[in-house]
Amino acid sequence: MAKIDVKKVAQLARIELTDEESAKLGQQFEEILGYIQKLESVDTQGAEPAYHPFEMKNAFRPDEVRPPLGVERLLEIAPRADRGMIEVPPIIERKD
Amino acid sequence: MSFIRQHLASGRSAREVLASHLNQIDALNPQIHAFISVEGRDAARAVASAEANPKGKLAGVPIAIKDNLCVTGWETTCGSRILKGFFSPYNATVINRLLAEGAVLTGRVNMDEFAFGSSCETSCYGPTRNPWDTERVPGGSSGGSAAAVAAGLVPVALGSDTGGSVRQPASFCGVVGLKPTYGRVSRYGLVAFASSLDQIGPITATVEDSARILEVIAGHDSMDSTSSRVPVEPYSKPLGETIKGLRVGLPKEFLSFPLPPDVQAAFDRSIKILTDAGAEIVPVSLPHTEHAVSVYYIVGPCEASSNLARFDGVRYGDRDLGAKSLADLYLRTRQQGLGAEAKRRIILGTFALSSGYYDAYYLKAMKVRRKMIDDYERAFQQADVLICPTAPSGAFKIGEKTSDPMSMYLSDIYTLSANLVGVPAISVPCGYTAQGLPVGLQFMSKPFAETTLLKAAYAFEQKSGAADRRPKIYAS
Repeated sequence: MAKIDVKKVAQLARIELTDEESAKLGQQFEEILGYIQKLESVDTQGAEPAYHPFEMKNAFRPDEVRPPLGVERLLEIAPRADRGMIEVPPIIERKD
Repeated sequence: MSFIRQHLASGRSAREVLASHLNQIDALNPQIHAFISVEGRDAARAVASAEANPKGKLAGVPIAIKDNLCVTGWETTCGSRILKGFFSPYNATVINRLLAEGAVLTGRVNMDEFAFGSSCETSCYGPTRNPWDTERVPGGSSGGSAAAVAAGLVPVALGSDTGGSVRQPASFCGVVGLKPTYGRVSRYGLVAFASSLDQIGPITATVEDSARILEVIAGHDSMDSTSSRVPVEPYSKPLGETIKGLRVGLPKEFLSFPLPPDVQAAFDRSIKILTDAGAEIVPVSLPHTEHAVSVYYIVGPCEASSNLARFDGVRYGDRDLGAKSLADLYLRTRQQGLGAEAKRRIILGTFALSSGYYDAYYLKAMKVRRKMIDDYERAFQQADVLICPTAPSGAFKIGEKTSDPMSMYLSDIYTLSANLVGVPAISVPCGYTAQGLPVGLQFMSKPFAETTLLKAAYAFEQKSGAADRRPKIYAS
């Protein structure tokens, strides 16, 4: 059975975990994956994966201009915004 | 008796109806904690417009809204700290449809965080309590919706159902919960959990009210490309027609799960009620039923891990203001903002989709899901509706299952399949446990056969009388 490297996967999901949280989750995942393992016994040869309950073709609609919500409205709900832009901490550090 | 029909016939003013429900909220919400915010000002405004348009199909009907549906100007948080401070700039399509018919939206009701749970205990606002026994959970994730209706705080609430989140709390609270066919109701403005499973559905005291709400909220919407163009039917019209000759399928795999004797007795009595009403009971088989929990706990977390990536502290909701870099901002915002169950599911989903495990988990689950869809297609050649219990027990105690996620997941065995295969399903009260807690009977039908589903559920409800009892707290 697969073993989850909890800390690594949590990093992929951009969630910081305490050591205590990682340990507890590791235990719970073992139980959950142990249960899920039963799926291996199902013969799925020839079965098309069902990503949706029903077959859905592309859903087209006429390309019509509609009034947007507006930048100001959206900036209002951002935790921090300045001069028409959402503000975030630095992505790349400057080295002088 | 249908609240909506009675209300529209009574000529009672919308103002009076709202006032009496706000009184009930004042009196009982402190004990039940179903509402997390009461929006009195918006409700009063809606009353005024209902009075101006008394012809609306829901003119003056008070409705509570689950905290994952966007209503302009309301804080929409999905019961999560990470969305605190997010005030929706737009209405969900279902909200626009309710308002257009004169409904009076009274406020937001509690839920498990991001709808991850079966007990309403994972909400950042604390648990909602079951009106039948306030030491017990109301079920979940739409626990606030079900408790609000059961305690008479509102006659109608909207919930959402990804694996049973409307039906199981309806069963635990002795009310009616409908999950429509996948695609029947637009999800524009519903905060996404698992996009191939989610549906919005009503929680009501009666089947007729459920049908009347579905008539209003169903239908294609250009804002949700997964919403269906199958015509909406007048679901409430054929209620009361005979179910003589209706083929009711008993899936043998569902019957093989062990049930406590009181729940079993309520189920057996339900079969007899349907037989007495002229239905024909036919045995059917859904061979892959035992795998539903496994498939669900792969698909659900996988889709959730992707959908919840948007909660990163950048565009809306709460943010860790001490972060020094963007990566740090994501990590810390999500650490502080998400609860234990949300973290568990996001990490599990990220794992199952990660390179090296995708085929073994996600792809395998999708193939088993195909087998399940085939099972249901075959069963519906032999039967018009399928029945089984909604949940394997009455409401459990608060705290009883929080430390054991697997046992919580297993309590959803009866409801998960309908989401995985896309069929509509409804829970109707069918009896009581030895401790006097309500239990529900679940009906499922073919995709888009809500008319048949509701007709069967209505006939059962009329004969069973189980819905006539109300929690003691309601009468007090």
